[in-house]
Amino acid sequence: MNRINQFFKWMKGNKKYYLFAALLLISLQYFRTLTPLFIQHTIDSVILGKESNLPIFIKNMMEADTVTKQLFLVAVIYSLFALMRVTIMFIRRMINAFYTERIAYNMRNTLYKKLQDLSFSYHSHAETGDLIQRCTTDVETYRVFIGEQLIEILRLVFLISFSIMQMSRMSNEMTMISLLITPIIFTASFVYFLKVKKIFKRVEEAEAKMTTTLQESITGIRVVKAFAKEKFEIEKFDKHSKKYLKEDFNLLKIMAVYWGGTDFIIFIQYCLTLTIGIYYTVNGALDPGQFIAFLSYVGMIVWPMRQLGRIVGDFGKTTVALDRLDEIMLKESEHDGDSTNTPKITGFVEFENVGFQFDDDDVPLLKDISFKVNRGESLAIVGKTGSGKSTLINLMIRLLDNQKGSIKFDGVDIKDINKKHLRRNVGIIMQEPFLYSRTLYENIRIMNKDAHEEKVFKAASIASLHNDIKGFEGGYETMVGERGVTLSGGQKQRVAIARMLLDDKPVVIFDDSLSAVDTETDIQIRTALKDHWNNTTMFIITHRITTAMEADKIIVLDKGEIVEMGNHESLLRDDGIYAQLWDIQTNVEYDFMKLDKGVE
Amino acid sequence: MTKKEMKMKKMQQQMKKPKKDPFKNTNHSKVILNKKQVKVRNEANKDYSKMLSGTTNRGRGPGRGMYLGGKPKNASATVLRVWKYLGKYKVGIVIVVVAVFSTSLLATFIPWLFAYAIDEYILAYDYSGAITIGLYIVGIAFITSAVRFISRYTMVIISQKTVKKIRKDAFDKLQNLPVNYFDTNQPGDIVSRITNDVDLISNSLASVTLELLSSLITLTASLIFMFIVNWALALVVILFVPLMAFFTMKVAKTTKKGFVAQQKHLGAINGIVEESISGLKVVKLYSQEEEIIAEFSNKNTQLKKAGFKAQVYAGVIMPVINFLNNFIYLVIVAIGGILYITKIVAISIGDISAITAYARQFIRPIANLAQLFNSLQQGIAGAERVFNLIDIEDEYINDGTDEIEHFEGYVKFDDVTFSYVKDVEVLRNISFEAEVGKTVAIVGPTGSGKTTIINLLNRFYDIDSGTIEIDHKNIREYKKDDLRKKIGVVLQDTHLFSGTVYENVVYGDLNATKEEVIEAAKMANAHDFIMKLPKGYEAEVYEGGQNFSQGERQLISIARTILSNPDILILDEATSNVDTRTEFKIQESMRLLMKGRTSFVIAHRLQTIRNAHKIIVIHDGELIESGTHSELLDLKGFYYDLYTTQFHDIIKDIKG
Repeated sequence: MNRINQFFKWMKGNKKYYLFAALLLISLQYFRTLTPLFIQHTIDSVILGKESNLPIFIKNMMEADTVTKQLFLVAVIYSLFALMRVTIMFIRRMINAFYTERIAYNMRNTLYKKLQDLSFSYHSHAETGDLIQRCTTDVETYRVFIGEQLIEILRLVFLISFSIMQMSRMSNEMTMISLLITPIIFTASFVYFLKVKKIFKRVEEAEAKMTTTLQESITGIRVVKAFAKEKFEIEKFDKHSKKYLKEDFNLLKIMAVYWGGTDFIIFIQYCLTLTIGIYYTVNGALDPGQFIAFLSYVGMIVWPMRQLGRIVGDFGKTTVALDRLDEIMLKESEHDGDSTNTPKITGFVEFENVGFQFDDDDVPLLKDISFKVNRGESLAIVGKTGSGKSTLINLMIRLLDNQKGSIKFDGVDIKDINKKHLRRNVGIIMQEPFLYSRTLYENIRIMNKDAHEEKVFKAASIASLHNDIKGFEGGYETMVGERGVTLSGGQKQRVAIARMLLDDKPVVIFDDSLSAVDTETDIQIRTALKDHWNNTTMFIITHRITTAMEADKIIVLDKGEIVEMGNHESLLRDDGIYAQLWDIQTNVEYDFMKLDKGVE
Repeated sequence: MTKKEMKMKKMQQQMKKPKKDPFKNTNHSKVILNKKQVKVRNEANKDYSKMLSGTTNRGRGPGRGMYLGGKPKNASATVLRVWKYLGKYKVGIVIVVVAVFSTSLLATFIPWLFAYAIDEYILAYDYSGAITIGLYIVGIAFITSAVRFISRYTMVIISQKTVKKIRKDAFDKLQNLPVNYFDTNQPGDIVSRITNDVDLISNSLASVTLELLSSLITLTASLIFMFIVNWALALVVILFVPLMAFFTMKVAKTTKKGFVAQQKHLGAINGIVEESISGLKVVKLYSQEEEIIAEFSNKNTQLKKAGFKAQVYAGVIMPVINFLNNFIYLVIVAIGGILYITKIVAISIGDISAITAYARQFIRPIANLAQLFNSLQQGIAGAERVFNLIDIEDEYINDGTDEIEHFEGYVKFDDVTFSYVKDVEVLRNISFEAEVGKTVAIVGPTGSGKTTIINLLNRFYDIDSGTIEIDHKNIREYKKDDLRKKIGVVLQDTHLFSGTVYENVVYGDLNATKEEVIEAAKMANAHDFIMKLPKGYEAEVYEGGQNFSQGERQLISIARTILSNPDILILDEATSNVDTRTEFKIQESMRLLMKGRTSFVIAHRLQTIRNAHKIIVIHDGELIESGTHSELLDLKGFYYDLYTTQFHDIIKDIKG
């Protein structure tokens, strides 16, 4: 029952169209089984003067006194009949197209919205490629199921049933004979497609391996050539290519057995109907027209039987896709139960014994973090990769929620602040900023769509970006991304800074966001920023000690804990990690200074 | 403005101008995206169930199995070439052709036998005669399907083997192409040639040609049989052919348009999803949820509309063809009936039944023909693209002949000029020497040509003029592979292969023992972090090494280079994104690696530069200064400017 619910819940608002289309489809199958009867009517009734098996209402339409007139009427009625079928068929397809597209549309929209609402911790554990696949491939699988497979099942079942009904109106015995082997066809097909999936998968995996090898030999061609390993790569590819071929061939062999085997069973069914049909016809138990009709009906049963088994065997795919979709839909949205409180945020930030760890991790990422930053102050956070710097930032904007302690903005715990409000007040400039495939101008203005040109130019100037942009052929209208220019890491970072400048936020976080900018420009930008943002509280995550040293406060993180806190001078005096890092990074500069003096 | 200031200004602009660095154009995300597309396309192109089941492209959706490729330019030459590949399997091909001929012909006999049975025996109530004919029909049908099975099987084997050979030839060539081929071609395109295009060939070989052949034979045979059975009804059938063909083609064309549009919108949607999911953090940070949802919804609506249109177009095809089929059927029976009764032309009931069967046999291939030709054309176009790849000259065509046992390590650039694109010189008149075992630091702003210099040494590119010598011999004299084996390269952004960490290290020397590998990793400072991985050396490396940090990737690549034991070294120092401690480790292991080997370092750290025996300063493709650190500082030129500005704030700070 759950399964059925699962199958139909996406059809909300479209069920009536579906039902209508299904009814049209069923009627079509009935009409289709009438076609052989027209022939039977013509041969048996009109020409040979025997009984017609057409339903009476149609038969009545073709009553006439002469054979020629009768034939003429058969032609006319049959044409009208065919025309009607075509019309219905067309209407049904329109309706089908209408609701399948609508369903797919709704699904994609719903899923997409849901994805946007899911928490960051969900996304940080989910694979992007996988999510994309769910939004596209899985939706497509369901669309095909609803729009084609389910319909196909209906079609086949009714085609078979109506054929049996029409046959039994002519001869019960002959009907039994014509159905004798058909269950075997269905079963064989069903079982086969249930089993062959594994082999399909093996082929796909082998193909994926081959493609990966190929791809890597291209992306890594310089490595291949630098080590002169062309032959090795060729052998590797050859191995995978052979493997793929072997698996593929295996599949083809099994396929061949299936198609050949079922063909043979179907063939036997035809033979049975044919030979016994001839026998009955010669005996007079069957009229010639009826015999021909029977042969047509066998075709309307055996091929659909095989098809039916195949589709039913293939059901699993849809079930899997729906399960995958449900997995997303049933996840809690991060805005469920969010506070509606939107207090004014000026930039006074407090951390009190903050701790965090992921549910499925044993080690906490942050432990006992406490510090205060006043409005307009700057705090630098130094630490190696994995020390917890990014987690700390993610907690501040509630991409993640701290389990221990509290984080307060102007004295209010952030859990009591509306998430969107909080995020609007805290700006983050990331190390690898994300640029949209739009123009540079639009990319800078993304935070503040009302900003006028002058403001945009000024922001770009402060971020040392204006001249770069002027250097592009299209200037500010240059497209970014696949269809346009590729920006260097430093340029991207500067775009992100310009963005933030257009939108005055009380708190701004630099997430190693000048790492790809050269030292000189780094200084230039920071000097400009200091003037512009004297009331802004700044958090600066960095590897570069020369960047950290100018902050009002510096904390050093190691394994999720604050190991040192102070300012540049006091930390140097402490002679801990900070001092050590300072040594590594600057001893050469001291030397340089000496040399420099020597030159002087 | 003093001269010096002007120079500085120029240099600053230089540094900011985004120049295309050939090392950086392997855009990984793009590759992955393309691979996905390739996969989707592959899946669309491949419908296993149809390969042995008879007609290709019989399915409902004309959109499926549609490859949006171009038309072949020189079809006959390409076909001839495919034929050459097939030449090995002459016996198989003869079997297949004979089989197709005989089965198609035999199949056309059945309606005739059937008609005979109706007229001679069934209508005469002759049971035994009817049974005999029935058995004939059964026999023929059985033989036909058996032979057809054999021919398909044979053809699949032949096409698989052929395609494998073509794929191998293409890949072999690919590996031997010069590096600039990979600069100018998108990885996705290249992959597509070796996967999609080859699959297209396979498809046209295995099914399209067979189908085409049997269609043509069936067409001709049933036409002839129709005239033998009854010329009048045959003429009636022929009258309908143009009508049928016209309709089918017309509708197919419109349908294709619809599906192309749908495909386009689907691509756009995928793009948005991909962009917004990978940029989800940004969306959340900037509170852009509503906007992006609106944008998505908008594109989604377009897709819905396009999809609806496409389906409606496709929806027309079936009913129309269906109607025409029924209509022809009806006309035959009606006219046949009239003829039978009026006796204008002699005709029997059996004849009518036979003609209806022939009409069906005759019309089906015609409806299919256009599509088959289309598929064939795509196959040929695919083959053409693959052959184009195979025909590109490989880089070993003028390879040197001198084998190298060992380099002492003396390197000399003499008046070297080089351009990636004709007439756009990237390096001009570069001359310098590197003494045996000494380190040369290459310094200069981004885009000045530093990377290019090291690409010339191992002949990734060949110079336009001048000479490069190693151990007093032009490098063109050496065998390229030997040359490259003896020159070790450690790049800033290192490529790792998917597999295990061990496999990536041992790549440097495939004959190395496990101990040697570990020893190399230890020397590279990589051993410790490798041992901390869950599976140690057997830890899995994902495609492109994305599960390792850049610093770790570089340590692994240093280990790889240590293992390969080169005589000359090329190093590209990391600039950013590596934390201080890892960077320290990298520095240390690089220093170890450089000991006693002639080394070229693209240097960013002052320490490295200062320790070098010689510094060459490249600016705008020219070598403008060279010497030791103190010599260059004394010179008070470009180098002096570069470093006094880069560190002026620190100096200021320390001074007070």
